[in-house]
Amino acid sequence: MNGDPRDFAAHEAALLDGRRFDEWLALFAEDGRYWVPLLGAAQADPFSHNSLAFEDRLLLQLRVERLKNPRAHSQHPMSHCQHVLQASRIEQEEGEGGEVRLRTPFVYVESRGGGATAAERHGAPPPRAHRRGLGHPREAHRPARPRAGLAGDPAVHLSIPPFLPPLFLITGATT
Amino acid sequence: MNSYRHHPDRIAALVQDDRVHRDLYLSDELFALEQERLFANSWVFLGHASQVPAAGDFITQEIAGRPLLMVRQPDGAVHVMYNRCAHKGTQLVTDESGNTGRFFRCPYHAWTYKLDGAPLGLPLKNGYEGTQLKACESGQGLSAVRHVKVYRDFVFVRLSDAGPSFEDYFGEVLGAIDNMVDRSPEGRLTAEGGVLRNIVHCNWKVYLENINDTVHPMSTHESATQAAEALWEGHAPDDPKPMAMEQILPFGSGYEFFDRMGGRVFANGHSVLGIHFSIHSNYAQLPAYEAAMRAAHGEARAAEILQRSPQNSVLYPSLSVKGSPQAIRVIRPLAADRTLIEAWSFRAAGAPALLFERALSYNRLVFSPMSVVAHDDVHLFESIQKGLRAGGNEWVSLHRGYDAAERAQSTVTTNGTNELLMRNQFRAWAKAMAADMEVGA
Ligand code: FES
Ligand SMILES: [Fe+2]
Repeated sequence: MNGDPRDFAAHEAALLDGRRFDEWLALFAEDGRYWVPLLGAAQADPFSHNSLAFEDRLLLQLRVERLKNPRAHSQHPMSHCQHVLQASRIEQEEGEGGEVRLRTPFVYVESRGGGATAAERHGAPPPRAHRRGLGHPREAHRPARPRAGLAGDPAVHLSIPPFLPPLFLITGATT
Repeated sequence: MNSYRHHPDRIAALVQDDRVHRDLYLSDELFALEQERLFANSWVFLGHASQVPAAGDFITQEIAGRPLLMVRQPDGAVHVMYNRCAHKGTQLVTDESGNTGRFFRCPYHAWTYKLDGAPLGLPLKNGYEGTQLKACESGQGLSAVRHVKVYRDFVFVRLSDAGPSFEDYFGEVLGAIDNMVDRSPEGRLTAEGGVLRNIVHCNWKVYLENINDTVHPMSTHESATQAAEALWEGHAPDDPKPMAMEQILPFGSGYEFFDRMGGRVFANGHSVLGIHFSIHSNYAQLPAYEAAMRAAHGEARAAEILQRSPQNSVLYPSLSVKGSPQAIRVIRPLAADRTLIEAWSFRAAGAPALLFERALSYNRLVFSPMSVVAHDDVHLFESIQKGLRAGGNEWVSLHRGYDAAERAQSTVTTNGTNELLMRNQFRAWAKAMAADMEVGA
């Protein structure tokens, strides 16, 4: 992505919601880490405390490949996914070659059923997690950028499900 | 309308030699009876003593629908009380955990209690002179849970006064806890890293059965294991694997592997799956850790402890232990069709940090709400819960490996794919549910 880094978060979310996983994965640096800490911003690291997810490229690829498999039973019917993002805020911008730190509070809803069309059924498989989560999901952060760090407090939102009950709901801030 | 209360014969008829009736999973009345009879009369895992390290530390937990409070005392003991103010019933604390200081103060009218529940004081004292308060239950302070057992820091309670002693109830299966604790060179574990929780929309027995189900991984986890295998293709069998690969790839083992791992059942529904080996047997060796184990336990004993790595040990009805990745799952039934599953990780004192990372990694990969392995399990558990409503066939098959002789023995050793481990759970269920039940018309 070139241009405004704030577009990055929107682009990333749109790729997931559009089930364009290979393109999504291609955004990742080779040594990128996808971290969803259980304690949100309060969690110092993924090694001393459990996380909802902490994955390198290999594991993310496993996720994506699994979803392409017709025997991914939990994708019958498949998930519908929707990110609702707040405006991204740049928290820290560095000079050339530097890292940009972005914060994007969001609500993420996944639901299944409700009449997928045949085209949808035969299209690309849907994204990642779709479990009913209880592990403080409201505090979960989802760093979208490779090598992203976490900062500040998680945003907490109320979510009104679109037209189907949510299966998995994460709200938080993408940094 | 009561279909089962006061009808022990009807309850017994739900569990036949090699099949069980769908009502076991669907009936709200049976769920209520389970809370009253099975969960109140059995020894149920409450929590780990390391969750309350200092005096005044508490955790709250609900067992059999009753709010409980576990508190560390000034003398180091662990007490379990009912989380109910002696005045009007307010819960004294509503946080999951915390420290109350030197006493509890009820948020409603400010009655106070010592850490052991003894009454300390109440406002407007003089209004109670000449009343019966002191003699009443309300004047006695907090009610203690009478039957509490702290076994190597694992805290269990039995809420009913009737029922077997702790040792009689669990017997040999306590070896599963021993093995996990003995894996610490200092003989001590701490529950760390928080708890991963899932609410699954199925009956708790569906989940517990699956812990002993070795026939499903091949088909249920096909998408995850095929993806893992494809990504790992081209590596030599003894190439060192990233921890996640080490933990996921064995899920793809064939029927024969699971059959040969062996299983054992004990009285009261308990079992050990993987008595010979398991998917946890081939994690990378850690020479420094093994040396520390030999120094602590001696050569032979250390080898015996480390060699033992069952797939799952079930302390019926609520606890499942994985000694090797040092993780437990706790089954907390919420309703006939709703179950809370907790996954906890342990750190072994004196062991390298890598061992704890293994526990975290395993729980994250396999039991997290964002796991890639468990999605398919959960989908199928919820599918069972709906499918059983279909009728047509009202029975659930547990035929695999049935042998009439098994009913006469309390401890049986068998192959790993025998559904005996599930039949054994349901026999314990029927026994506990129907025991001493008053018979009605
Ligand atoms: S209910 Fe606790 S003081 Fe009144
Ligand atoms: Fe499974």
